Amino acid sequence: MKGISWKSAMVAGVLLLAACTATPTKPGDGTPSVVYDKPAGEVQKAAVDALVANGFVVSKSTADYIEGARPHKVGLVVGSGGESAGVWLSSIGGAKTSVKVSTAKSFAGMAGQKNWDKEIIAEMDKGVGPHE
Amino acid sequence: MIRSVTVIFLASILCGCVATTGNYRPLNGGAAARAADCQIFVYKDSPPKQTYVAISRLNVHLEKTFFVSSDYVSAAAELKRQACLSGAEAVVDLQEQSSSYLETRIYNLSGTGVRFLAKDAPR
Repeated sequence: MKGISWKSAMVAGVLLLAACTATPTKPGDGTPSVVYDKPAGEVQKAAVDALVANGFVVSKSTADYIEGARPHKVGLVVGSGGESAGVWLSSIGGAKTSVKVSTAKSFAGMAGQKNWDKEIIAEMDKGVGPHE
Repeated sequence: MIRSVTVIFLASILCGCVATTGNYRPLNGGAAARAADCQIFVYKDSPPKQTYVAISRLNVHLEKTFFVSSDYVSAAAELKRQACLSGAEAVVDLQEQSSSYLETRIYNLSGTGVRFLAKDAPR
């Protein structure tokens, strides 16, 4: 019985770490967006590259939405990883693209997680040039 | 039983403190994949003299906890592997970026995979 409890605890722990990934929510209309003077297709590629460069594994990639998650890492104190990030794109005419980014922290390992919005935008700036 | 569980647990911790993600994105239509251990020329300091076409955007991302840092040597093998998978013959425009957060040390290496156009390409 003791052995089964150990196994159950281990399985539960692994599942908790693996499954507890938060889903990013799109920022509301009141939240300012970032605008690039580039077509959406070009900005979409830059967004994928930006997520990858920040350690996200891209799980969804469509014309107007990209989502990725950072793998969990065990650490000495708090570890890291477990965040998810979403990038929403919308064409606003004149070959301009509006971008909104949101990072979601998961319940497991939240102490070692951070908001990656600025880093993602900074990396996109490298790809398609500075935003307006 | 407890010993086995302890060994598995410790192994999981050691494996779980490092994350290496490598990938590529095709450019200009990309190219057919080569063997994962193919020969790749890396032009770290200056571009090659031969004419070439960019065929992939390469990225390797290393994160280690326990305050352990990474460098080019840690990421080079994965960069070459991704270059091979993307069909590239060489890598140019290398960019390194290091950062940290709490006990995590982050190292990112990106580059452009290329194929040579000229007959005098290095072999």
